[in-house]
Amino acid sequence: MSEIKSQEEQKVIFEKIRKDILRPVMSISYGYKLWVGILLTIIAVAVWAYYYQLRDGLMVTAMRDYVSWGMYIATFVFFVATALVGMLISAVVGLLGKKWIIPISRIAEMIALAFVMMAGIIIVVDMGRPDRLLNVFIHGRFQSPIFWDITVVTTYVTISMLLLFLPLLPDLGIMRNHLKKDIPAWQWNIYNILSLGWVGTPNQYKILHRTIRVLLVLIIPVALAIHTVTSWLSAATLRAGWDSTIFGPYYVSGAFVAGSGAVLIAMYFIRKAYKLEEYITDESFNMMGKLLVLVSLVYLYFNLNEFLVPGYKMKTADAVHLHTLFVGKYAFMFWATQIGGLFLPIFLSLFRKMRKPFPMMLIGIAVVLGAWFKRFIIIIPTLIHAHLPIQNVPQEFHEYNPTGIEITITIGVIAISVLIFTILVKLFPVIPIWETAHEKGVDIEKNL
Amino acid sequence: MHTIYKLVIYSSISLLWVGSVQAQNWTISEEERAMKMTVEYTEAIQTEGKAIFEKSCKMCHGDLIVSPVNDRVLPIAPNLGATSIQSANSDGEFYGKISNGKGGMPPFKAALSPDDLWKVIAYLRTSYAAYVPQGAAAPSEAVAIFEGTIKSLTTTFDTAAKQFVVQLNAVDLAGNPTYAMNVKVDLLFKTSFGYLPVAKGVKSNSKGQVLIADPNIQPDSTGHIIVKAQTADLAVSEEKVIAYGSPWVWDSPLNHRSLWGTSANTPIWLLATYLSVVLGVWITIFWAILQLFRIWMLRER
Ligand code: HEC
Repeated sequence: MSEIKSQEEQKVIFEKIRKDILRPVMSISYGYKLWVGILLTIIAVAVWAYYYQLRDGLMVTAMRDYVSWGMYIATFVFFVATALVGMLISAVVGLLGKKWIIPISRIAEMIALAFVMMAGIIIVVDMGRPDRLLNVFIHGRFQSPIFWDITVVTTYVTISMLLLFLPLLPDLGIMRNHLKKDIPAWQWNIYNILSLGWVGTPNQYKILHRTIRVLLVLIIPVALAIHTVTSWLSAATLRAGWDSTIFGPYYVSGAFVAGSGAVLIAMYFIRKAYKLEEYITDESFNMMGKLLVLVSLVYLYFNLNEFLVPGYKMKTADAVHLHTLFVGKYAFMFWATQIGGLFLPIFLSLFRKMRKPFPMMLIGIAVVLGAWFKRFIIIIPTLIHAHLPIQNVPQEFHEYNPTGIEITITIGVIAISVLIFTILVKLFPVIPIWETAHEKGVDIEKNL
Repeated sequence: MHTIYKLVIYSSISLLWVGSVQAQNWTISEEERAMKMTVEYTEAIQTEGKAIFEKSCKMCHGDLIVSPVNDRVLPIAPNLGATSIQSANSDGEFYGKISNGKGGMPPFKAALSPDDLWKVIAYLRTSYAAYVPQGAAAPSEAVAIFEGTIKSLTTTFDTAAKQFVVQLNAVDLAGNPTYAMNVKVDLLFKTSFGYLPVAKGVKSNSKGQVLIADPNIQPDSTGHIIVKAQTADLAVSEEKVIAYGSPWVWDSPLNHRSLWGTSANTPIWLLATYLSVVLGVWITIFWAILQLFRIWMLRER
């Protein structure tokens, strides 16, 4: 907090912050409509494709007896991974008291919520008989990592929602108080109800701060659990490429990389579209770039362990698997992912000149693309090598080339998550007004 | 051309060929015909010969099975255990035939050394009871060879002595019941995937019994196994279910609390961990929701 300011000064500062941050909430730009239109079109096409999948069954995908987890599950892992950033940014960095995180934290939470919700949906998409979804719960086994995964994903969704909602309360109060004339009545009513009658008394702030703190601590183990359990879905088997003891931390560190990339992209476009250069500053990109380097180095370290150690021993099945990745069928995808999605981003982000908004956004895209393909590489090549020696299976079992329908549906589900995010950043202030004001020396308990 | 005609023409050509091949005669030189066995006619040599036979001959000729005449039809290789073949060939003639071959029978002159050839012949002769060893094979001391006929054999398990007893029922040349001594017997045990040898080529004692020590086999759940006893020349055999060991109940691990069992059989530690962690987390979540309610209670009225 800066030095004590006069009441008048505080009013002016607060007024400006409020106006700046709430401006996008009050109007819908042409670009925004176009963007939503594009997303809706993609989703509509995907729904049409999903109709075919529902009608004809999973036969319309390229999944067969060997590769029974394809693009969908790879995307599931990608979603869960990216969603982990909410916890990284708000809990880990936030609890450390890093101030630069304030304008970014809500973006991270919104990404987390949008992605983890879709993680649940794409599992249903992967089911041949979604009408039997309930059986997963009725006949679930406590011993099964899949059951644990369902548990942690639902828990994480709930906590993410709370962690998005709680810090939003003071802002909702502000919106209710100041926006009545500027927005349609229905929208104001939403804010009014959601604000839970927030007036910002010291008592309310006390409860708010304590609850947020508890949840921030709680979300750390839950978030670690969600991605560790996701990794166990594979690691608890004997398959080459999955049978690894470091899969938990390997996934978690990879998740931080993916999430940081997603946040960088979102930061860039939100800042541009909402003209928030004053809040999401070049310094924010600089710091996010440094964070990206840090988490990427950890991930690189786990990659080294994950590939060098089995590569040194070359056990029979591992050797076949590693050959496919290093020099075989998946070599191009593997090296493009490792170099374009990991080595290069680390290397480039080391330079101060690169840690500027535009280059960081490009690096973010490379990282996110790399993250998706990395999940593909983790899931599919392993499955292509049959675990049991079976002979004379149809040729199609030995390969996996996603069908058009599969790709369309996957892109559609990703589009839904982006749409959810797009709606969230429209409905609610992307930057916490009260925290930002507080940082600039405004006594937020008085100035509502 | 019509397929039928083709078939007729081809089959008559091949019949002609087979006929001409069979019409050929064995080329045996006078020298070969006069040869005498150069290896000893002992069990050790016969066993060596058997190994060679199994490697080089069995794929065509099959097992040596004692029968009066060859029971297989050419061009399939004949059953060399047939008494008609055994009696028709002198050792030298066998030697010549195997060395030079004929038609479907390949010449082994280059593949096998003379010693090996004789060893195989020594083995062939084990299926010929009336064989009189000659040359180096002539016995230095007489081995009591059983000369009667084995009628049947029957297997029992002697629980006290912990051994299988295979009893041979035989008659002598005059047709009177007798103990068959020095007859080789194999004992096999039936598994899901075929027969597993328990003992091979064990000789019967003076009471016509073959005693085989308990090999500790896992019986089925009712305490039975299926054994097959056969004379080494495969002339007589018997397959039989016998009581062996004690019945047992398979205690499936899935009936206990285990990681791989059903949900109802979740290990307690897992259930306790899962429930307490989930409960703890969700109590905290509900507490947080309650805080929302408290904030709402503090609103300005
Ligand atoms: C490629 C299959 C094949 C192999 C291997 C083979 N045989 Fe033959 N054998 C035959 C056929 C066919 C005949 C019948 C030839 C005929 O009568 O035209 C035969 C005939 C014989 C005969 C003559 C039987 C009689 O009618 O007098 C003897 C002895 C013999 N084989 C011994 C052997 C021995 C010993 C070996 C192994 C070293 C052996 N064979 C390997 C196919 C084979």
